[in-house]
Amino acid sequence: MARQLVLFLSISLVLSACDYLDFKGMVITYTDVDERFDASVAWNDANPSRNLLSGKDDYSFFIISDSHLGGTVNINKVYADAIAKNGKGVIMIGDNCSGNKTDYDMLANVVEQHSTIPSYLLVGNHDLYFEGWEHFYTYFGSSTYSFSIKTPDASDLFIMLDTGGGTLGKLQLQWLKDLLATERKNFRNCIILTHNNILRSRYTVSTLPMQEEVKVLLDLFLQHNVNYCFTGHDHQYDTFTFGNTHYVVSDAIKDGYKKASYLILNIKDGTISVSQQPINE
Amino acid sequence: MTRTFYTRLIFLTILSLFFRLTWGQLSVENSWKIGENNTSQGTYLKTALSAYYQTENYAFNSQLQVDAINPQKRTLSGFLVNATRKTFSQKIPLSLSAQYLLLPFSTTLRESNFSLMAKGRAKGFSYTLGINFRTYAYTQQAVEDYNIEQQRLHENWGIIYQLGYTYISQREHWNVGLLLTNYDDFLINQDMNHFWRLKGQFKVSKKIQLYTECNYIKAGVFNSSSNYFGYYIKTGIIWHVN
Repeated sequence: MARQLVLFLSISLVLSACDYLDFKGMVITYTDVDERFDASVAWNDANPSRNLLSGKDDYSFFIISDSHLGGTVNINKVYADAIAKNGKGVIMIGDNCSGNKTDYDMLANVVEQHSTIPSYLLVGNHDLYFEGWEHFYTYFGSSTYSFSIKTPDASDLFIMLDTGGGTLGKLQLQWLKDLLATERKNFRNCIILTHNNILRSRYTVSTLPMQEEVKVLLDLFLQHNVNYCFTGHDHQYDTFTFGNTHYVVSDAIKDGYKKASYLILNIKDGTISVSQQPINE
Repeated sequence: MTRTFYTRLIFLTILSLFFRLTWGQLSVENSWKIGENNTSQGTYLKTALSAYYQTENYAFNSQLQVDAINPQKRTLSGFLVNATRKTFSQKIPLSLSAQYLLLPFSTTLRESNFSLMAKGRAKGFSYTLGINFRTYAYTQQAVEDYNIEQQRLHENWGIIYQLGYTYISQREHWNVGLLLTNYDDFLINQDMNHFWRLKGQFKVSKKIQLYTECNYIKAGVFNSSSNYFGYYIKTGIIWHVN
C-alpha cells in the first residue's frame, strides 16, 4: 500500500511540475468554450472590424500553425517572407505558444515587431494551458471572428473558430450557422480556419471533435459551400477533399521541428490555391 | 438509400424478432436514450429495438434506432448487425465480434462503420479492444444537388475500446459497473474521444432484465484542454423469449 502511495505521489509531482503540458486540463476546464465565445463577441463588438481592402484582385495570406513559442526563429522567417511577398496578412491557427505568460509576452512581441502586416490569431489547446486564455485575450482579443477581404472583383470571407477545448460549443456553433446562413451568399469564397482537425484521411492520435459535431459541420460545409478548411494540431501536412470542401492540415512551424513548413494561400482570378513552403528552403 | 432499402431493413429486424429455432435463445430488447450535447439544440430522444439470437457458440444481433426528437428531424437514425463467436475455450476467454453499423445522419450525409472487436471478462473486469473502418458519404441526391466533387471519405484503423469494472450481487440479481469507453451501440468515436458510463442492471425474473446507464462526455480530454460536450441516459428492458 505504501509503495503504491509513493508511486502515485511521485507521478503527481512530476506531472504538476511540467511547464509544457498542463495535465490538469484533462480534468479541469479553465475557461469554458461558451465563456470564451461570449468574451470574443464582446471584444469584436467593442473593436474595429478586421476587414481588409485589396487594390488588386490577386492576393495571398500566409498561414502558420503550432509555432509553440519558445523559439522565434521560424516564425520570424515566415513574417519576413510574408512582408517581402506583400502578403495581405499572417494567420496563426493555434498552439501559438505554451500558455505560459512569458511565452505570450514573446508572441505579442513578435506580432508587434511585424505590425506592418496584419496578424490574425486563434487559440489551440496549448494556448489555453496554465489558464492561458486570459493572456491571449489581453494581447489579441477574440478567438472567434470573421473578416473579409474586398478586392475590385469580389469579396472573400474568412471565419476563425475556437476549437481549443475540443468542441465548438453551443454558442459558437450557432454563431457559425447564423453567419453562414446570412452572409455566405455575399462572398465569392468562404474559408474556415481552426486548430483542431475536423476529419482525418490517415491515422493520427490527434483529437478530433466528437462524432455528432463532425457531422453537423460536414452538413454545414456542404450546404453553404465552404471552399477551404485549414487546421493544424497534427504537426503533419495533409490535404484532401470531401464533399466540395478542401481540407488542408498545416505542418508545425515550431523551432527545431525538422518538417517545419507554412502555407501560402493564393487567390488568383478568384480561384484559391495553396502551396506548402518548407521553412528551411 | 431508398425507401425500399429501409423498408427491407425494418422487415428484416421485425422478422428476426419472430425467428425461433429449437436449439437457440431469442431475446428482444427495447431501449430509450435521452440526452443533450453541444450540437443537439436541446434534448434529444431516441429509441432502439434489438433482436438477439444466440446458440452455445454464436450470437447474432440486429438493431434499429429511431429518433423521436432530434434537430436533423430524421426518423430512422441507425441500423446495426453483429455476429459474435463466443469464448473459444477456458484458455482463451475472449469472444470475437464483427459488426456493421449504418448511421443515416441527415438527408445529405451518412456514416457506415465496419468493426471487429475482441471482448473478455475476468474477475469483475470487462474489456473490449477492436478496430473500426469508418466511411462518411454524402447521399446520391446530395451529389446531384450540390455537384459534389468527392462523395466519400474513409477513416481507417480506428481503435475501439472499453474497460470497466462491474460489481455483481451475490445472488446475481443485480449488478453495477463503471466503464471507460469510446463506443456505444450507435456511436463509435475516434480513439481519443472517450466517455464514462455508469451502468446498473436488475433481473426482474428469469426472463426479464432492466438496465439504466448514465454516460458523461467531455471533449478535448486528451488535448489536456477539456470542455463539457454532453451526456445521455439510456434505459432498457431485455426479454429472453425462450
